[in-house]
Amino acid sequence: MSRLSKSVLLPTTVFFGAGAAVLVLHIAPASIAEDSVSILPAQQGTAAQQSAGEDKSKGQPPAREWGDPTPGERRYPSIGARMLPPPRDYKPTITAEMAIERIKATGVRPDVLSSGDLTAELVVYSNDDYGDVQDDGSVTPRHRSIKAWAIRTAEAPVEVHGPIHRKPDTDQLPSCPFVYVVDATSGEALAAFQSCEEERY
Amino acid sequence: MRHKRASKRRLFRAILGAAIALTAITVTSTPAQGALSDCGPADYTRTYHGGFYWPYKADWNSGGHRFEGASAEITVRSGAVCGSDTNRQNFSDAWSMIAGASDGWVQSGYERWHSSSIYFFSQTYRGSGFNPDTYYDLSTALTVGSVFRFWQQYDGNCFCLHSNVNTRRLLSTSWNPFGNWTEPFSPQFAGEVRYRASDLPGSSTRRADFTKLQAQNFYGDGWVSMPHGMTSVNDNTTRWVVGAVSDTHIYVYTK
Repeated sequence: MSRLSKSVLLPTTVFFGAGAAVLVLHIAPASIAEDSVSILPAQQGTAAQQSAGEDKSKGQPPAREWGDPTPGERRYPSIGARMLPPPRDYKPTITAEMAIERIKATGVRPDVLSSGDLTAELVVYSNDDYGDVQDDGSVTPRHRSIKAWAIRTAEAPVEVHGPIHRKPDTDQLPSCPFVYVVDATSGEALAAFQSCEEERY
Repeated sequence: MRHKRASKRRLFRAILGAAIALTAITVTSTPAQGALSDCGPADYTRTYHGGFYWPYKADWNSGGHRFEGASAEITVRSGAVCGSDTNRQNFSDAWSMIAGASDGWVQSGYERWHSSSIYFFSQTYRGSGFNPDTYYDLSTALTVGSVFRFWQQYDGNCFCLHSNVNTRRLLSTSWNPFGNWTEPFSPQFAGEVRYRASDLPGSSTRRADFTKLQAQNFYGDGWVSMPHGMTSVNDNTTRWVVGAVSDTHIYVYTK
């Protein structure tokens, strides 16, 4: 069942007054039952760290093992995301217009949604970093080779959050590619991300 | 006669259904509490906070306060945003964070914009000369009142920071914070808005609680309860409340 069909209406409060009845409803747009509040056991010192002693600045995260790029591929290494061209005979269940309507319904990053500069492209989407953490610390990706609409703009101002009482280094905020991802079969909105590290082949 | 009654019943059900749907849409799109209608001047280079952070302490290395990660269980509340900026970066959020002394940060939490639902987000920033990376998890629109553990975890296996929600990973850094940031690192826990005219998440009867506040220790990578000594910040005391029940339980809300 797609997540689109999971929306439920839960009556929570009923007010009666002056001859009128108002039913106040609360919308639970999607189930979150898969999330528990369980906490992973604290990880203790690792062999890699111990070999580095107390100087943890010496090590480097391993490079991604993505191999040679495919023509037409887009990579976002700092997000863990890749987008490959879809099979030539692939026919999406939903149209690009429907996918754009779906992401507009989320309301996420209204500045991007209202920019009028969005383009839709069919891709095969994977993300190595987003997923479920296993007991051994590895991640089982949730998004692997999903045929999807990538709805993208080349330049959107970065929404900078950051620590309490610290402004960014510059008053001129960067503009970077921004991508929404919608499952082209189920219509489910999967993700949105912004990264200046976009590699196109 | 029976046919007419059935038709009336169907018509009544259709009207009731339409009314319920309209009510639901109205409830969803109406901001909560009392965010102001006028946002005031925009400054997209800064945000405003209500929360707590671990401040610089001279004995940060010898006093058992050398941290590398941060964790909190945060109750999801809807923060209404001011009304005159409907299509830009007008947001209200809550998060946990580990930040370098003067450079980058890694954070995860929940966020909403004008007329949007509430979603998980994560942002990582290596520091000067680089740009932030941001991930929004659209797979789950969050239910108000639910509780999630948002935690930023240093991993000695990859010399990187992971940004997590419960057992879900949102982002991992492709760089080593110890090779890019200045110590001491600061665990932080806060609600945040673009405009001071917007609401922090929570109300006086349904606060945005941050519980089980923890920091990850540099030595051994284990997790400890936040010790006594955090500093509170409230950028709009007229409208927001920032308080603490204990060293490991804080809250924010809009009056």
